[in-house]
Amino acid sequence: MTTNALRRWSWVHTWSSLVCTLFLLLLCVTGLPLIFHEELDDLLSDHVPASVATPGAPKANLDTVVANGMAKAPGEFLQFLIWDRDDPNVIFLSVAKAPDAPSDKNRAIRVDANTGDYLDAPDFQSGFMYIMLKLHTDMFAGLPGKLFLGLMGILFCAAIVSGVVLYAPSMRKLDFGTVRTKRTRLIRWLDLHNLLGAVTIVWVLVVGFTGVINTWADLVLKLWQFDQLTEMVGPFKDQPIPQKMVSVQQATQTAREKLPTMTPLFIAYPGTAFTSRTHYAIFLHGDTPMTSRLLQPVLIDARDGSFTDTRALPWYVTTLLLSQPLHFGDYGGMPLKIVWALLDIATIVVLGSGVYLWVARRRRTRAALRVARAQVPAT
Amino acid sequence: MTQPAKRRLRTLKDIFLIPALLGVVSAAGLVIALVGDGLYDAVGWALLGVPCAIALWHLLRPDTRTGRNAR
Repeated sequence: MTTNALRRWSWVHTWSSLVCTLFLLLLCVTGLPLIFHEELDDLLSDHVPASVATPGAPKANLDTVVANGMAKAPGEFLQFLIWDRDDPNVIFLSVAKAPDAPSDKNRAIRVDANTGDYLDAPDFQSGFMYIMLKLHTDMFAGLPGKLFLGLMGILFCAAIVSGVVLYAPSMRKLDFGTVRTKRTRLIRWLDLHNLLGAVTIVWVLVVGFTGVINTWADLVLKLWQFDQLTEMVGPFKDQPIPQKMVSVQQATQTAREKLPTMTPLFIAYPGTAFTSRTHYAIFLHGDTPMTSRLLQPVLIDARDGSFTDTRALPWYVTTLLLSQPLHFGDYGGMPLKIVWALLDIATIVVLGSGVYLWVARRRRTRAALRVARAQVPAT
Repeated sequence: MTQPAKRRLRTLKDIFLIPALLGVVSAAGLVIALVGDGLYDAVGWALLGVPCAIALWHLLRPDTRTGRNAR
């Protein structure tokens, strides 16, 4: 590599990292507890335990689930009915002040999926894990915050790529993994930066880039609404939200008959962002680790229970859905979460050492300049 | 190993061989855990754990080389 090219890559690496480092440190630190959110949620809040299903026993009728849950939320409206991915004995009801209100401030109600009994109303809008999640996704700044973090993620990817390029000249005289512990602090930290950077490249690129994709989730949803959902709904667009809706149990049954190999994951009620103003959208998923991430909506007219349409989600939604597990690391049990945490900590060290290297080198250059100036006789 | 051997300049292949292998192992781990459960998960996290183990091994290994290494 020519000296000029090297200098240019070095400039890209320095500045792409410096701009995003603070935010990436925030993301890595807040991401650490989020890896274990399932375990920490259980630890930090007292849930009323759900009954344990006897194998083969029928699940509670969804109309009972909704009636019992909504009895505890007078004056509020059901927006989503969600089966708990982690606990098949629990159904979440997500309620809002109006059927078509934005869903980001929704309250959650837990209902027993076997007996249909009300369990509790966990508070997902405050507490330690909520603060971690908000700092991690949008820094309490909504969509602009999300998109900004996505931009930082793109800079981070540029920093990684330029880091790989600079790794070569840095390692010309060293074996892989050399940590020169007997040399100056600067060299020791450079070696550490290179070693941890080199072993984490692929993981950090995957987690970084899937994180960037996740920041576009709101936009992907909007695109899907305009693109596929509008076509599926067809002439039913802009109808008023029906006052009286057919049984959700019956609607779900119809949806299951349309896609008999899939199981329902959540139901969007009329008026929410995931459906029209007149349809239940029942989102079903497959049962293998891969297909369980891929959803397909079935639209059922909430006024008469008739089937309207079902289509596989377009590629851009599928990409988003598949990028989620790769970002969260929640698809291989506890051992994978621990590896995820170790790699996250390694990334924190790479980021921290990167800042240290920049500061230390600057200080050294300035000191050298001062010495050089002092040696020039005053005129 | 003798000192002169250590001083020779590494080729790009020398430099990137191990990081590239670790990259392939990581990518395989990430994907394998995604396509299945049980054994797939175990293979997945084990593969993704390899870069962690290698890094730890190099971090904890004492620096036995003598003298100043050429920079």
